[in-house]
Amino acid sequence: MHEPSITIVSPEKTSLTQMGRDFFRYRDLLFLLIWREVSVRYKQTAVGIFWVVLQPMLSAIIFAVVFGLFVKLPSEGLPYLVFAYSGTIIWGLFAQGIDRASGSIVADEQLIKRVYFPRWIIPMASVGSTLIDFAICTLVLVVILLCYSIPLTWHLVFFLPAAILVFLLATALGLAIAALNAKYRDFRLLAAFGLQIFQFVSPVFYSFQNIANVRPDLLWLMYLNPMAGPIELFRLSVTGSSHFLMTGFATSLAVDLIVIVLCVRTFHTLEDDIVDTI
Amino acid sequence: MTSSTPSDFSGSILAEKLGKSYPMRLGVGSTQLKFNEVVTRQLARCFSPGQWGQKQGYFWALKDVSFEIHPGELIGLVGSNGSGKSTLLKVLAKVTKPTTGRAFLRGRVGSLLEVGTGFHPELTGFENIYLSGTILGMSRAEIAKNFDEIVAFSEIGPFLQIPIKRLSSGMAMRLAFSVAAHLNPDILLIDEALSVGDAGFQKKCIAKMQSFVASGATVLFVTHDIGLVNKWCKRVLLLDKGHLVEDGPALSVIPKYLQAANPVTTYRVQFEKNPLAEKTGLSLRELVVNSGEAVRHGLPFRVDVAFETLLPQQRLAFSIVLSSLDGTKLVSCDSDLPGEKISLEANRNYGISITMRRLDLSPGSYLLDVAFRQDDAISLDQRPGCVRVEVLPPEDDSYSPNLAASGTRPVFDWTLNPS
Repeated sequence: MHEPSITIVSPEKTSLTQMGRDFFRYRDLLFLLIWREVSVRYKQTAVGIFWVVLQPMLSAIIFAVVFGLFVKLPSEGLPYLVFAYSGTIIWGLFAQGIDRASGSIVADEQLIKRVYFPRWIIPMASVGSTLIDFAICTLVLVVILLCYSIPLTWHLVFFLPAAILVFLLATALGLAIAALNAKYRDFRLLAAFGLQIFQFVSPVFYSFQNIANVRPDLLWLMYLNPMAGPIELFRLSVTGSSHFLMTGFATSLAVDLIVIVLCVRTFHTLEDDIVDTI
Repeated sequence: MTSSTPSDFSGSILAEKLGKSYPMRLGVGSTQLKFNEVVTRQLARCFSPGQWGQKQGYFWALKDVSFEIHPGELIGLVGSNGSGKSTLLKVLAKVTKPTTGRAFLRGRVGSLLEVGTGFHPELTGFENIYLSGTILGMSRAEIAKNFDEIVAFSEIGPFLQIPIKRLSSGMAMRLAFSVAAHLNPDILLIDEALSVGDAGFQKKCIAKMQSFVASGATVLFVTHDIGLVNKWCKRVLLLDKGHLVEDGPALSVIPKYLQAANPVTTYRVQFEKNPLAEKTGLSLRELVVNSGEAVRHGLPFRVDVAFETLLPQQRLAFSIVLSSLDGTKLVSCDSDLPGEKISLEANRNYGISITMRRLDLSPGSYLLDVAFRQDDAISLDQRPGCVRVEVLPPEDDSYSPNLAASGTRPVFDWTLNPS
């Protein structure tokens, strides 16, 4: 038997290094909560897990018809369906992650009022659960690429950093919004609305090529969007296209880092008060 | 300030001047302010210079609480409603941070602040054992090791693959308790969890708790059940308005608790609103003892209760219990004993009355508990010891006080047969 550890209860804040250690200690719980979220989500549904693919596929088809067939927008040399679908699934990882995370702490109010575990686990599990949806959608993307006989290039390596970046961004924003939402339920509604707006200024269904053609002087503005860079990086892994704009990506990446730091700090500041103000 | 462990800490729990305050406007029940209310309030402040710099008030749910507990102690935490018992457990369990002070807990801490923590209604019993166990702090390997024992303890084996929303609430609760009972922590914090479940299961849980304590674990539990404390706890902590006012053997603390908590003899009580009414959908309003008449041995005894429903109620039962001042339950009446359950509409006022045809209790002082519960376990509103009932001897001199050796004296016959 080892010497039992001593738990210290004090008004001090949990340090960030402690948060790191907790991540390792509570990994079982994190995975279990991810599993809970996934298995509960599609209980008592008729087509179950097919919803995961159905949602992005349907919206991609609609946009492919409208923008690709009718308006005939350029799509970086890809069939419009592939272009729109790839944009939708990486955007879905971001938007669904934030959407599920933002209400997560409030939904588990009973839990956090009764048992201790690091609070970040709940929003992180919500975002984590979208990784599974994302993985399934990505497999379907590969199938689509094969169907269109689009060659897979070495650019595929960019898939991973793009997904990780989006995951981190969604986790950070999800943490901050979930903690804020614990006090004022307005934040969840605000997040849902904000995501809708942001989808329109992100290169999900259309390419920034269109903007570069019309107002090249305003292109930098579009890259202040934290999702602009990651989406284009993700699409680069599919297309290997020469349309990837390095300076744009760098701008977006810088914004990402700032957002992540701010959000984690916001969560850390609010963390201890969540249980008393929820 | 760094929190290093004091060198002389050899016990199981050490609390040093623990305090917890809440801003007054949030209170304990947290009446949430809307965002626009905050804004208008802040604006109003700006325009009324008299209030500038005025700090908002704080409510201390816990203040300067210090104690030390040694391994192997089974300790009861008592106090009237709002005395800070639950807050103390929440602070020790790290659910909420203290505002002041520190505490040290040696070894693994298991907290059971509510039965069924972490259960999800859509998942099966099997899945919920893993979910709840992990949330309470067990590793997957430990759950797997104890799995069969947990299932056996809960007695719901055949229903393990059914979503628990389809189980009766009593069964779900048994399963939840079984998971918690197999935590095997060094320190176990329990908040009134034992008040649920049927008597047989309760006994099983107490036996389990005792085996913990026997093996050197520490148990700190909150309860209103003085009988339980008297029977099992050698040491009792008494909280009053957030302060630790008594800490000592049950025999000396319990009378002080009863003195502080017991109402004076009265025949009519107006209840404060049930703090859990939003959730349970029921709140007692008023109680009248014996229609305002003196309570006498050998005569009928009647209790009338007025209550309101906030939600529709099903399978409801009302019960009254008379206990001695040390908490031993002596007589009880349950409205569902004839097998009838009550169903009620939401948002209405009702009255219910129970009459014992003959009160057999010997003259003396007793405490009256009234409670509404659903099925056998879920308490909707309970007011333990809300009235002190003074039982008087019958008016005709048929009662001889000299012979009042036992708590009750039933109507009886006797015969003498020459052999």
